[in-house]
Amino acid sequence: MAYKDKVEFFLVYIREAHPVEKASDGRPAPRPAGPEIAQPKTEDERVIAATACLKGLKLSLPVLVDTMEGTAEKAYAGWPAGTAVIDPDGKIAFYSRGPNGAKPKEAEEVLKQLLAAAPKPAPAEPPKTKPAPPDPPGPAR
Amino acid sequence: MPTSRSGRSLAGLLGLVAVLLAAPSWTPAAEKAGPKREPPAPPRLAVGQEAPDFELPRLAFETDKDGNTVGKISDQKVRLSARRGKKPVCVFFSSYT
Repeated sequence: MAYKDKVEFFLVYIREAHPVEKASDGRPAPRPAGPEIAQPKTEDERVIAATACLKGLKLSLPVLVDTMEGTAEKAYAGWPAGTAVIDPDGKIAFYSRGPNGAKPKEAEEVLKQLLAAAPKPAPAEPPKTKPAPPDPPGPAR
Repeated sequence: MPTSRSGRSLAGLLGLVAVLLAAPSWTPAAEKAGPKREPPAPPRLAVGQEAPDFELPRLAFETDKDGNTVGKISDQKVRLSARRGKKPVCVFFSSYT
Protein backbone atom coordinates (compact mmCIF):
# COMPACT_ATOMS: atom_id res chain seq x y z
CA MET A 1 0.00 0.00 0.00
CA ALA A 2 1.49 3.36 -0.99
CA TYR A 3 1.13 6.06 1.62
CA LYS A 4 2.74 9.02 -0.01
CA ASP A 5 -0.58 10.60 -0.98
CA LYS A 6 -2.25 9.82 2.34
CA VAL A 7 0.48 10.64 4.85
CA GLU A 8 2.85 13.59 5.06
CA PHE A 9 6.45 12.47 5.60
CA PHE A 10 9.39 14.49 6.85
CA LEU A 11 12.97 13.76 7.79
CA VAL A 12 14.24 16.12 10.47
CA TYR A 13 17.99 16.22 10.06
CA ILE A 14 19.60 16.37 13.51
CA ARG A 15 23.13 16.34 14.90
CA GLU A 16 25.35 13.54 13.73
CA ALA A 17 25.11 10.30 15.67
CA HIS A 18 28.66 9.13 14.91
CA PRO A 19 30.68 12.11 13.73
CA VAL A 20 34.37 11.97 12.99
CA GLU A 21 36.06 13.33 16.10
CA LYS A 22 39.38 13.22 17.89
CA ALA A 23 40.04 11.50 21.19
CA SER A 24 41.86 13.27 24.02
CA ASP A 25 45.21 12.07 22.69
CA GLY A 26 44.52 13.75 19.35
CA ARG A 27 44.04 10.53 17.42
CA PRO A 28 40.76 9.78 15.63
CA ALA A 29 38.20 8.47 18.11
CA PRO A 30 36.94 4.96 17.36
CA ARG A 31 33.66 4.94 15.52
CA PRO A 32 31.70 2.47 13.43
CA ALA A 33 32.24 2.36 9.68
CA GLY A 34 30.18 4.83 7.70
CA PRO A 35 30.26 8.27 6.11
CA GLU A 36 33.01 10.46 7.53
CA ILE A 37 31.36 13.63 8.66
CA ALA A 38 32.52 15.87 11.47
CA GLN A 39 29.84 17.23 13.78
CA PRO A 40 28.53 20.35 12.04
CA LYS A 41 29.14 23.52 13.99
CA THR A 42 27.14 25.82 11.75
CA GLU A 43 23.88 25.59 9.84
CA ASP A 44 25.81 25.66 6.56
CA GLU A 45 27.82 22.62 7.65
CA ARG A 46 24.64 20.81 8.62
CA VAL A 47 23.12 21.61 5.23
CA ILE A 48 26.17 20.06 3.56
CA ALA A 49 25.83 16.92 5.68
CA ALA A 50 22.09 16.68 5.04
CA THR A 51 22.62 17.11 1.30
CA ALA A 52 25.26 14.38 1.31
CA CYS A 53 22.83 12.15 3.17
CA LEU A 54 20.04 12.62 0.68
CA LYS A 55 22.32 12.14 -2.29
CA GLY A 56 24.18 9.20 -0.81
CA LEU A 57 21.08 7.33 0.24
CA LYS A 58 18.90 8.56 -2.65
CA LEU A 59 16.16 9.81 -0.34
CA SER A 60 13.22 11.65 -1.80
CA LEU A 61 11.23 12.76 1.22
CA PRO A 62 11.17 16.39 2.35
CA VAL A 63 13.97 17.27 4.76
CA LEU A 64 13.69 19.79 7.55
CA VAL A 65 16.88 21.08 9.12
CA ASP A 66 16.82 21.14 12.89
CA THR A 67 18.23 24.20 14.63
CA MET A 68 21.82 24.06 15.83
CA GLU A 69 20.38 24.12 19.36
CA GLY A 70 18.55 20.87 18.55
CA THR A 71 15.03 22.25 19.09
CA ALA A 72 13.08 19.40 17.51
CA GLU A 73 15.60 16.73 18.52
CA LYS A 74 15.31 17.68 22.18
CA ALA A 75 11.52 17.95 22.08
CA TYR A 76 11.29 14.44 20.71
CA ALA A 77 14.46 13.02 22.31
CA GLY A 78 15.11 12.02 18.71
CA TRP A 79 18.86 11.40 18.92
CA PRO A 80 20.41 9.23 17.47
CA ALA A 81 17.27 8.23 15.57
CA GLY A 82 13.54 8.23 16.08
CA THR A 83 10.14 8.04 14.48
CA ALA A 84 6.97 9.83 15.46
CA VAL A 85 3.56 9.44 13.88
CA ILE A 86 1.19 12.30 14.61
CA ASP A 87 -2.52 11.92 14.00
CA PRO A 88 -4.68 14.67 12.43
CA ASP A 89 -5.65 15.82 15.94
CA GLY A 90 -2.03 16.62 16.69
CA LYS A 91 -1.57 13.71 19.09
CA ILE A 92 1.28 11.20 19.17
CA ALA A 93 0.01 7.99 17.59
CA PHE A 94 3.39 6.22 17.54
CA TYR A 95 6.75 7.04 19.00
CA SER A 96 10.06 5.26 18.97
CA ARG A 97 13.64 6.39 19.54
CA GLY A 98 17.11 5.06 20.14
CA PRO A 99 19.77 3.31 18.05
CA ASN A 100 17.04 1.16 16.51
CA GLY A 101 14.44 3.87 16.70
CA ALA A 102 12.85 3.37 13.30
CA LYS A 103 10.50 0.46 14.10
CA PRO A 104 9.14 0.54 10.54
CA LYS A 105 6.63 -2.27 10.88
CA GLU A 106 5.10 -0.87 14.04
CA ALA A 107 4.90 2.61 12.54
CA GLU A 108 3.27 1.26 9.40
CA GLU A 109 0.63 -0.59 11.43
CA VAL A 110 -0.25 2.63 13.22
CA LEU A 111 -0.49 4.50 9.92
CA LYS A 112 -2.81 1.82 8.56
CA GLN A 113 -5.05 2.19 11.59
CA LEU A 114 -5.13 5.96 11.29
CA LEU A 115 -6.00 5.82 7.62
CA ALA A 116 -8.67 3.17 8.17
CA ALA A 117 -10.25 5.30 10.88
CA ALA A 118 -10.15 8.50 8.83
CA PRO A 119 -13.61 9.73 7.78
CA LYS A 120 -14.29 8.92 4.18
CA PRO A 121 -15.11 11.89 1.93
CA ALA A 122 -18.82 12.13 1.10
CA PRO A 123 -19.65 10.85 -2.39
CA ALA A 124 -20.20 13.60 -4.90
CA GLU A 125 -23.88 14.36 -5.50
CA PRO A 126 -25.12 13.64 -9.02
CA PRO A 127 -25.75 16.81 -11.03
CA LYS A 128 -29.28 18.08 -10.60
CA THR A 129 -31.26 18.00 -13.81
CA LYS A 130 -34.60 19.59 -14.54
CA PRO A 131 -37.46 17.05 -14.87
CA ALA A 132 -38.52 16.48 -18.45
CA PRO A 133 -41.74 18.30 -19.35
CA PRO A 134 -44.80 16.05 -19.65
CA ASP A 135 -45.71 14.91 -23.14
CA PRO A 136 -48.33 17.15 -24.78
CA PRO A 137 -51.81 15.55 -24.96
CA GLY A 138 -52.48 13.65 -28.16
CA PRO A 139 -55.15 14.71 -30.70
CA ALA A 140 -58.77 14.22 -29.58
CA ARG A 141 -60.47 11.06 -31.00
CA MET B 1 24.79 0.05 1.96
CA PRO B 2 25.44 1.45 5.46
CA THR B 3 26.65 -1.07 7.99
CA SER B 4 27.43 1.14 11.00
CA ARG B 5 25.04 1.27 13.94
CA SER B 6 23.87 4.71 12.95
CA GLY B 7 23.68 3.46 9.41
CA ARG B 8 21.40 0.70 10.67
CA SER B 9 19.07 3.17 12.33
CA LEU B 10 19.00 5.33 9.22
CA ALA B 11 18.74 2.13 7.22
CA GLY B 12 15.65 1.24 9.21
CA LEU B 13 14.22 4.64 8.39
CA LEU B 14 14.99 4.07 4.74
CA GLY B 15 13.24 0.73 4.85
CA LEU B 16 10.17 2.43 6.26
CA VAL B 17 10.33 5.20 3.68
CA ALA B 18 10.70 2.68 0.85
CA VAL B 19 7.72 0.67 2.04
CA LEU B 20 5.55 3.66 2.72
CA LEU B 21 6.35 5.44 -0.52
CA ALA B 22 5.91 2.20 -2.51
CA ALA B 23 9.52 2.43 -3.69
CA PRO B 24 11.55 -0.77 -4.25
CA SER B 25 12.11 -2.41 -0.85
CA TRP B 26 15.43 -2.04 0.95
CA THR B 27 16.74 -4.42 3.53
CA PRO B 28 19.02 -3.11 6.27
CA ALA B 29 22.49 -4.68 6.43
CA ALA B 30 23.27 -7.23 9.16
CA GLU B 31 24.20 -5.84 12.58
CA LYS B 32 27.82 -5.07 13.13
CA ALA B 33 29.50 -4.55 16.49
CA GLY B 34 30.48 -0.97 17.16
CA PRO B 35 32.03 0.88 20.07
CA LYS B 36 30.08 0.80 23.33
CA ARG B 37 27.83 3.77 23.88
CA GLU B 38 25.65 4.86 26.76
CA PRO B 39 22.20 3.33 26.69
CA PRO B 40 19.63 5.75 25.27
CA ALA B 41 17.49 7.73 27.68
CA PRO B 42 13.92 6.46 28.07
CA PRO B 43 11.36 7.98 25.72
CA ARG B 44 9.87 11.22 26.93
CA LEU B 45 6.75 11.11 24.84
CA ALA B 46 3.76 8.80 25.08
CA VAL B 47 1.02 7.80 22.68
CA GLY B 48 -1.96 10.09 23.10
CA GLN B 49 0.15 13.00 24.24
CA GLU B 50 0.09 16.29 22.36
CA ALA B 51 2.91 16.21 19.81
CA PRO B 52 5.48 18.93 20.57
CA ASP B 53 5.21 21.58 17.92
CA PHE B 54 8.12 22.82 15.88
CA GLU B 55 8.73 25.07 12.93
CA LEU B 56 11.77 24.26 10.84
CA PRO B 57 13.09 25.35 7.46
CA ARG B 58 12.94 22.98 4.57
CA LEU B 59 16.08 21.92 2.72
CA ALA B 60 16.04 22.95 -0.93
CA PHE B 61 18.38 22.06 -3.74
CA GLU B 62 19.85 23.86 -6.67
CA THR B 63 22.42 23.01 -9.31
CA ASP B 64 25.64 24.97 -9.41
CA LYS B 65 27.48 25.95 -12.58
CA ASP B 66 29.39 22.67 -12.54
CA GLY B 67 26.18 20.64 -12.46
CA ASN B 68 26.56 19.63 -8.80
CA THR B 69 23.51 19.46 -6.54
CA VAL B 70 23.92 21.93 -3.72
CA GLY B 71 21.67 22.12 -0.69
CA LYS B 72 20.47 25.33 0.89
CA ILE B 73 18.02 26.48 3.51
CA SER B 74 14.86 27.50 1.69
CA ASP B 75 12.45 30.26 2.64
CA GLN B 76 9.76 27.64 3.16
CA LYS B 77 9.16 26.83 6.80
CA VAL B 78 7.17 23.84 7.96
CA ARG B 79 5.15 24.06 11.17
CA LEU B 80 3.92 20.75 12.54
CA SER B 81 0.78 22.17 14.12
CA ALA B 82 -0.31 23.59 10.75
CA ARG B 83 -0.92 19.98 9.70
CA ARG B 84 -3.77 19.48 12.14
CA GLY B 85 -7.04 18.46 10.59
CA LYS B 86 -5.25 17.17 7.51
CA LYS B 87 -3.25 14.01 6.84
CA PRO B 88 -1.35 12.06 9.49
CA VAL B 89 2.29 13.10 9.72
CA CYS B 90 5.24 10.74 9.98
CA VAL B 91 8.48 12.35 11.17
CA PHE B 92 11.86 10.67 11.15
CA PHE B 93 14.74 12.04 13.20
CA SER B 94 18.15 11.06 11.94
CA SER B 95 21.53 12.05 10.56
CA TYR B 96 23.83 10.52 7.99
CA THR B 97 26.41 9.02 10.37
